[in-house]
Amino acid sequence: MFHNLNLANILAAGLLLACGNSDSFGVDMSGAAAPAPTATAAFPSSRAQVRFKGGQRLQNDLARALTLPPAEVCTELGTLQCVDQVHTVTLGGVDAYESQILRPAPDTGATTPLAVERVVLSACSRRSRLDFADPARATLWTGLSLDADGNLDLPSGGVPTDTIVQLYQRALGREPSESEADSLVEFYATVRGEQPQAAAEAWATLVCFAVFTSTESLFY
Amino acid sequence: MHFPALALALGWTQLASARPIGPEVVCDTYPDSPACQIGTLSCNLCHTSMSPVAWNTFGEQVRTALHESGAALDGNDAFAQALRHTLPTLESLDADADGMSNAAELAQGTLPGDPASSMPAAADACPTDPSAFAYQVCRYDTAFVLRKLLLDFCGHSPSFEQIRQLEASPAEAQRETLHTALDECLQTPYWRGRDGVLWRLAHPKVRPAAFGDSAYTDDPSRGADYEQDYQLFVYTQIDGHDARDVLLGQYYVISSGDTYQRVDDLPGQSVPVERRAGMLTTLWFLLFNSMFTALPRTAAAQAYRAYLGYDIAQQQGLFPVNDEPVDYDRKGVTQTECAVCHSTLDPLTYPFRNYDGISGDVASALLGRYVPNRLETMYESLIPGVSATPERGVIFGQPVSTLREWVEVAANSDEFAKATVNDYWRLLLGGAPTPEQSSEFEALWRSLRSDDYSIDALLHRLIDSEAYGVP
Repeated sequence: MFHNLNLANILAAGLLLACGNSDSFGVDMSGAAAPAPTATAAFPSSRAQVRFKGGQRLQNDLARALTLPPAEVCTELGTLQCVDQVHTVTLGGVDAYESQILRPAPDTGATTPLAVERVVLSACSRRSRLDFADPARATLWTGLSLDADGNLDLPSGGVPTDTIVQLYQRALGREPSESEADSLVEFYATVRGEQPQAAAEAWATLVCFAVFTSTESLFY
Repeated sequence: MHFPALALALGWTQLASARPIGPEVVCDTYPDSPACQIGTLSCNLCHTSMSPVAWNTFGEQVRTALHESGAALDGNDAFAQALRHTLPTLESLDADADGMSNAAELAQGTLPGDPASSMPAAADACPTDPSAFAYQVCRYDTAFVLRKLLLDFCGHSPSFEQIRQLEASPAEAQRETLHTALDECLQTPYWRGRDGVLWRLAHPKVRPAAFGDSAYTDDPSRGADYEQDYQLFVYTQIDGHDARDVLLGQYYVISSGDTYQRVDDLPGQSVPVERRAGMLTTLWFLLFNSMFTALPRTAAAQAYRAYLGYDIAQQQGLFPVNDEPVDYDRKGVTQTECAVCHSTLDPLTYPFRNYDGISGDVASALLGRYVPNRLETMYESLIPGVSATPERGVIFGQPVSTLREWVEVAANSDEFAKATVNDYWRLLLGGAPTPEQSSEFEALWRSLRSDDYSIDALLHRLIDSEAYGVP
């Protein structure tokens, strides 16, 4: 899927990218000083009523934003549904009929982030794979100019900021701030440095992953 | 604190046990306390442990004051009277030395005997121009609510276009948009369908279980499954139906997709209509909660827990009845340790005496029936004397003659309204109401009556609340 991609390195870079947006999203529970007003800044709230979206809502949002059937968002071994069958309880669901787990766990578990990342990475990979395999039918990663190695043809098209805007609109219901968009554009160089071929698809997958695993996306 | 040795010898032993009527007396004395309004006042007001019994600093103050008053403490009535007189004398004290008097803590809903129980720090200062930020901290934020309600009730986030459209419309229209969106979501499979939100809300009430290789549940023609219980529950929670029908309903429900239809009878359900009591007399409820027991205490306790918010196993909702428990079935419940709860639980159970869970051998067992003179005909030979168990019982201190009367009292009680609203509050806000949210919580459960117990109406009120809509 990622060809010779050093996935661990790039994934780590993607996560840092997602965490590093100091002027973005979410309710600040740290008690830090209030940020300067911007369209994407959050004033600290004393309520901190923030809840994990959970598996089913996450799957629905991924399916809608990435134009995928819910059943294709994530499967384990190609057959078992990640959210509805395998990671249900881990992702905040219940298993009433078989295990008598009648209520969701009050807190997320140690493995919840792993399951979340697995689901999101699966969905993002599928969307970019489909779009790069058949650009004429692409629904998210459209209008990209690629060279023969599957890398972005920077001299002719550059890194597609329009697509980043579209990704933000679909994932978070808003447009990215300038610094958010810049971070994702600059991230292409990191991916390209790790992966000489098909860097565009890897970058698209990881950009999608970074946005959908952000605090703003996963909590509400 | 030092006490006279004589006092220890004469009276201290009378105070050496927990008094389950304590919370009831406290709420009689301080009815406006948020903990009473929310229904969260429990034994931990005075106790750090119930077994072995131990007191926190406020409990110790109460205990000492009761003793020093010299009041008679034998029996619940005497104890209640003494406690009513004693509590006001402790109001100016600060049992947990946290800087707030006992009275102030009771008034705001925190625990006067626990220094860790306190109101959250005052809210942060509000931004001078909330509109300059992504979230409208300190005021109702319609975009925040749109996202929340679509996720909560429809199961997905709003689109970029939906948010833009909302933000571009006038303030009054924004509220209307939210309520329209809620109405639409309440019709979706995500909310009302099989394994939808309402279905999942019913799990702790229905308590589904797979009996491995069971002849009871493997044969669909016997109707011994829980599907019908879920259908009945969901029906009572949608389309403006009366939510009290979880207890009062004398009908059943079938569903096709997201459409639910009320029916008079269903194959397998055999309780006569005049003996039905909503979710408490379905085949599954009786099968699972009563099984083979003469006095189905588990059934009564589950009804109390699932629909009235009181878990007797946690010593909640204790309204001891004088001269109870009698121990008609010889289970030893008159022992002091048992009687603490069974003086409430057993009178709650008596109206279930003629409702049978399972009888007969496995292959041809009869399931979930109403059997007149059940104890006389089925259990007296096994447990001599058990047939003396009356059908007349007591709930919330009120005598009732039958299970129908039991559910009438229950469904029209404050406890039912609080428990119902609490289910949705926890579902949508992620936890029990906090002391500072108690006034909104109280307004909601009181409005349930004026809204004819419509959950749809409750949810419309809830999304308008500050607790839901102010980030």
